[in-house]
Amino acid sequence: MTHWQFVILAYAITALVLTGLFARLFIAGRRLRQELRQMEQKRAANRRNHG
Amino acid sequence: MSLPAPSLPQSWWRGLSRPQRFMQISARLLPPLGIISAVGLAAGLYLAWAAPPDYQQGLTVKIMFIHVPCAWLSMLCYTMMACSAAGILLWKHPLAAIALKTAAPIGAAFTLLALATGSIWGRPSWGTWWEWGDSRLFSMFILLLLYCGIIALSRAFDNSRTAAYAAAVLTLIGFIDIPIIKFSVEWWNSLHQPASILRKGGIAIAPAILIPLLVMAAAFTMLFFVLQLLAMRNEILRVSLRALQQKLAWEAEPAAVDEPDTIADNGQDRETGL
Repeated sequence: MTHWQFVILAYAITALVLTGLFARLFIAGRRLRQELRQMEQKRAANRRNHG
Repeated sequence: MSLPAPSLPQSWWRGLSRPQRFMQISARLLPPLGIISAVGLAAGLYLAWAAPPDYQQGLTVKIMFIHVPCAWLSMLCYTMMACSAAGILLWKHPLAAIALKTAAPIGAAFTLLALATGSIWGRPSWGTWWEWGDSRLFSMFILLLLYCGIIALSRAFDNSRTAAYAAAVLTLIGFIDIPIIKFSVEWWNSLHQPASILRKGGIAIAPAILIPLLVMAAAFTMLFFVLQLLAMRNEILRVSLRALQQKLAWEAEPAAVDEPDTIADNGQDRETGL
C-alpha cells in the first residue's frame, strides 16, 4: 500500500464512524420526540374520553 | 420551621440538575456548537490537506491530524465521566448519571478510532499494525475495555440507580488508566513517540503541522460536545417516554399496574422518572 492509501483508509474509517454516530443519535432523537408527542396526544384523548 | 432559601449558586446548581432545564439550555446550545464544529472540521480538513509532508513520516503525518484529536478526546471523555461518577456518588446529581451512561459509547468510539488510525499509521512507520508489548498501545486498549465494561454495566441492571452507582464505581477505579496512558511513554520503553505538545521543553512540532492539528483538535472537541448533548437529550426523552407509557398503562388499568410514582425511586423527577 502507498502512503496515500494509508491516509485515505484512516480518514475513511474516521468519517464513517463519526458520521454514523451522529446520524444514529440525530435519527433516534427525532423518533423519540415523535413517539413522545404521539403518547401525549393519546393520553390527552384518553382523558377526554373518560371525562 | 421553614428552611432558609438556597443561596444563588446552590439554586442555580439545583435548577440545572432538572432535566427540563437541561433540555432548554441544550436546545439553545446545539445549533451554534454544530455550526462551529462543521466550520472547524472543514477548515481543519483543508489545512490538513495543504500541510507539507513530514521529513521523516512523509504523507502519513496527515493521519496525525485525526489520530491525535481522537486520542485526546478518548482521555477527555473518560475524565469527564470520572467527574460525572463523582457527581453520582457524592451529590446524586440526576444529570451526572445520564452524562456517564451516554458518554461511554462516544468515548469508546473515539478510543476505537485512536487505536485504528494509530494502527494504520504504525504499519508504514513502524512496520507493524500492532505491538502487544508496547505500553502506550496496551494502556489505550485497556481504556477501550474499560469503556466496554462501563457500557455493559450501565445497562445490566433493571434499577437505573443501581446501574448508575455500579458504573460510577467502575469508572472511578478505571481512572487510574488515564495517567498511565499519559506517562507510559516516559515510564517504559515504547515504540510510540513521547509527548510533542504538553511537555517540559515546550512544543516540538513545526507550525505548519501544529496549526492544522490544533484546528482539528478544536473541531473534534466541539463535535464531541454536540454528540454528547444529543445523546443526553435522547436519554432524557427515552426516560420521559417510559414514564409516560407507565402512566398510560396505569390510567387504563389501575388495578393491574403499579402506580407510576411508586415505580420511580424516591426523589426522582415525576415527569422524567430521573
